[in-house]
Amino acid sequence: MVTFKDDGLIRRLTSEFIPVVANTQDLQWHESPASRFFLGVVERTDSETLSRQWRSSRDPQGMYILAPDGTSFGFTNDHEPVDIQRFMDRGLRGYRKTQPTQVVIADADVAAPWSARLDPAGAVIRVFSRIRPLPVDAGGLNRGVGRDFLWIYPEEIKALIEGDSLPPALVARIVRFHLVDGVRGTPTLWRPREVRRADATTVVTSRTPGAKTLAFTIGFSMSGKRQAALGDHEVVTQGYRGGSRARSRSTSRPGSCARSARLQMARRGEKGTSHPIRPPDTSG
Amino acid sequence: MQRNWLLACIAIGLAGCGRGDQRLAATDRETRSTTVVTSTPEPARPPGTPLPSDCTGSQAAADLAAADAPGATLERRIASVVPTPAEEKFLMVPWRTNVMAAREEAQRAGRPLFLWIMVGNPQGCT
Repeated sequence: MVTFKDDGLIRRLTSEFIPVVANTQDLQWHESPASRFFLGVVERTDSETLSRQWRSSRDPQGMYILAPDGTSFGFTNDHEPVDIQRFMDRGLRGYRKTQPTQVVIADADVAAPWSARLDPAGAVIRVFSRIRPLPVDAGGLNRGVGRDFLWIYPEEIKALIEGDSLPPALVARIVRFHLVDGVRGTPTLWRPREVRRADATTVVTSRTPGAKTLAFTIGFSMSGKRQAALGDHEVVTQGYRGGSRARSRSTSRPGSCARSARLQMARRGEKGTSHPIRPPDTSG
Repeated sequence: MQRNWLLACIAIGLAGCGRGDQRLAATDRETRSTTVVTSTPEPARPPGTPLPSDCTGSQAAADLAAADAPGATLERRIASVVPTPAEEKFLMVPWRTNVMAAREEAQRAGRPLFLWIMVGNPQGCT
């Protein structure tokens, strides 16, 4: 998130553009008026970087400057603020030089679903991760914070309120999708067969009229040998094991448990490694 | 990286921090995803509006060192993982989430769109 910490960029995005965020999961892989529009933009964007990304892995990630009619004025996947400033300058020049076609966007297209949305009776929990303690010489992405969201479905909230244990499906999702290394880019999720252990014990620590606080511990063990090249790093994951502790306070009001703090801790498997890919040997 | 802790803090559900635009929820059925239903564009945060107070993680920076101390409490460890205000600054940008509505708005405003798309919603920054 180095890029958008920059005050100059924040100011320009706010005053010179209409800034939009999107998820490839929605605009690339799900059919909707928005995804049709976006995929057309990808096709029309004249960018060597984008073409390379698209050819190698059908990856459209990055930043685009567009007219409302879909005319594209450039693409970048750089992250340094100074590069983004130049990208903005180029995009604005292109935009001002052309007369974009006025488009009529049907109300139905604006209202059409384009993304997954949780039932309002559910809860969304922000998930953060970091490497702690951070080695003194750690740099780059290792210093960052991993971000994700955990959804708790309405039926799970109901189960938490009515029962005294964590629903097994919730435990499974925490283990498979959130006990991952999300600090340095897109994490690899655990496959079901790689989860050797995932069990939770729960203790009700307080019960007052209309509210209940649970403390829970999750024991887990996941292992599986996989190798994935991520940018200029090769990540070899062999396993995590450890315990997670957390506290959850839920009340009888649906969805309100999202306001309680929770924690989980994972001990990284001692065999897990992450290291730069060795550059190709060009010595002869 | 060996022998270090990777802490994951499942923190507070936050209105105004991208809640309405979460990335597709995966379920424990490997190939299924949840229903696609949303029709209401997220309201844009007016420029310069302070972040919601529970979005700033203001305790985090102060507690970073203390969290590594032997015997640090669970609460300190949580605080050390939550993003610092500087790390949440990108949320000051009034990001729109509905591309089609943003096109209409851009046309009315006579401005181009700046579209940032990632694997996983950038507001989650996966």
